[in-house]
Amino acid sequence: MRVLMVWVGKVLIAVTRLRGGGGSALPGLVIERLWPRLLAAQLAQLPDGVVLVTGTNGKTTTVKVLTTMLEHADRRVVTNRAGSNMVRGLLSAVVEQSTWTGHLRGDIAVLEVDEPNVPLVAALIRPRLLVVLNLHRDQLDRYGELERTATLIGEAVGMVDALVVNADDPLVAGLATGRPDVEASWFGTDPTLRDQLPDDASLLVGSSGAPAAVPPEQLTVCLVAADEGARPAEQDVVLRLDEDRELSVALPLSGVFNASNLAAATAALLVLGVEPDRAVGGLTTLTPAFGRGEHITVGDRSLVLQLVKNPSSFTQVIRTQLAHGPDRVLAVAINDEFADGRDVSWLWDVDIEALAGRNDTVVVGGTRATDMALRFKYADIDCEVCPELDGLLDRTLELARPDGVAVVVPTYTAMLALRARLGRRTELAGFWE
Amino acid sequence: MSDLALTLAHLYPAQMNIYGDRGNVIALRKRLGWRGIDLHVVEVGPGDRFDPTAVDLIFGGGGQDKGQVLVAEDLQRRRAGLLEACEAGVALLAICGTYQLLGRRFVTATGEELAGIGLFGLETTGGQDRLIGNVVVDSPFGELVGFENHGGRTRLDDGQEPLGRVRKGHGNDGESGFEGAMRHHAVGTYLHGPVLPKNPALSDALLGWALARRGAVELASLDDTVERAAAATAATRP
Repeated sequence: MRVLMVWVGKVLIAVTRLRGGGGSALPGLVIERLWPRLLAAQLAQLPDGVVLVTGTNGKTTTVKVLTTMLEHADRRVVTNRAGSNMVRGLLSAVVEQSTWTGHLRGDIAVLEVDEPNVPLVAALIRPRLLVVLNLHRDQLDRYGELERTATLIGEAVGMVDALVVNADDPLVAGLATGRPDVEASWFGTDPTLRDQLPDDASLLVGSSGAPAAVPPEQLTVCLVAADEGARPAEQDVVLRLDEDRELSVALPLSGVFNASNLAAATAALLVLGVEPDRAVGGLTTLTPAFGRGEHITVGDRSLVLQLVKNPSSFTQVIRTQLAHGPDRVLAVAINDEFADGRDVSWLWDVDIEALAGRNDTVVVGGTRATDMALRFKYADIDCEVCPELDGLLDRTLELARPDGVAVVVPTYTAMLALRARLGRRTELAGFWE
Repeated sequence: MSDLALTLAHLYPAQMNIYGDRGNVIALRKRLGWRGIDLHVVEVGPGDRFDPTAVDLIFGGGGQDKGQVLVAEDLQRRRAGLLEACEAGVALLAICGTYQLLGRRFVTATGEELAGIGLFGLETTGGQDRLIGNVVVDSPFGELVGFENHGGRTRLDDGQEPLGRVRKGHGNDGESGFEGAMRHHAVGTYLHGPVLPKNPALSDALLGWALARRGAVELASLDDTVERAAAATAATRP
């Protein structure tokens, strides 16, 4: 049965690839309907078990960072890429990485899971470790209320062997406090950096929010420094591990939020018994995850693609990447398809005002370009409207200076569409890699 | 800037802020500012001292269930003041969870009851499914465009004026064809979006009421091209 299902899945993957739908979760959806136990059956073959990573922002990057470090420490890692993080996406990824004889080669799995699906997946496979990065208001018409999401993830806590949780996010920290039955490790941030990483309650207020859930000495990993310096798309990160050991890492990703993701991944390494000193060496070859700070060159113009999904990710992109530094060409593409969230009210919880008074050149596109233009208007920022994404790309490339970087800020489906279009204009890895 | 300044009381900003509704305060502040008038925003949390008759505008947004319980208790203590303010013509805008609590009561899907303050003649019962999607409403302020996302079904008493009639979307209860409620200068609605940025006529109505109470001159008109373009797009979305 298991091998038969792997065959079915692999045939479906081959067929969808041939028809140009590479990376589609249709194969996984079919298997999910027929025999969802395949997920557990395949993953049970891995001697070191499964790590699940969830949270509102940072899942894809954290999975990539952790996977890279584990591979550098000579572990073979099974993972789901391109953000296909629901059960069907996990099934597709696992089937694809299995052989035609049904064998899943690897030592350990590191899987990104969408928040509401965490209890379902945990019940199916009993993970060794659950990493919870943060819980922020997200697309409300898809995920519903924040506290309900926290409760859902809380249901999974009893089904995992260990937790890595964010001491600075009260909703996340609450999953571990008062649960002596679960082994919890904490990652956190030095107070001087916390202003750049607001929790949901302080997102709109601009303060550093609630105190950390555990004292600094109890943090497994503490982010103490993240210095971008003059180099774009890179930062020097210092992590304090317990036992007063400090680790310096040259991280080829920008934004303090990515330094925090590194802290989470490092805490996971420690729980897995992998020595971080050697593992972080693998990060020199790290490239940003799909759409998350990816640099793309078109001719002699440079674009950075920075996916935004909710107020905190958009606010973080603004505060850590845009509001500091020279005036830029900024292209914002807001779609309202189901995967983006149909309600664009969330744009008004974004700190767009932090861009006021600059001399950026702003263009907006996507299905809700006019709403984004309205948001900019009420922040006293002028912008040009190019709803069609090809037109938006043309205009952005036209406005971009050869020496500068144009920052493209899309929602999820706009990112997929832009990446597809950019792929036709330049050489880009296919998004199922 | 002129010497005139208005004061807006933002009710429960920490508990009732989940849907981008603070954009309504941004809209009011900017639209007044573009006419040379300042808006002072006073945040009112549970237990804070506050005289509803002493401000020009009152605003409350939507929130999560847990916040709504805390807010309901606090609103009961302010009941008399808020009813008096409504009678006195203070401009008020209440969205979703706050709108529900300005009715008589809210009965959850599991039968628990939250008392409202009865500013509007309406009751809300929690439903299992949520009513979600883009909404177009015909109202005395013209066509209003917004986005609804609520489990509550709100029934207006006979004689309770709605904000308008639903042309697209579910409205208060998915049956009556009504959206929102109005009494004097108080407006309640399920419309997020947020509701004011894309509906400048409603913003200017609230501001006009507030200014009239101060004996001030009429509002200069603004160029609402960008607002209208956004409303037109939103009205076509599912």
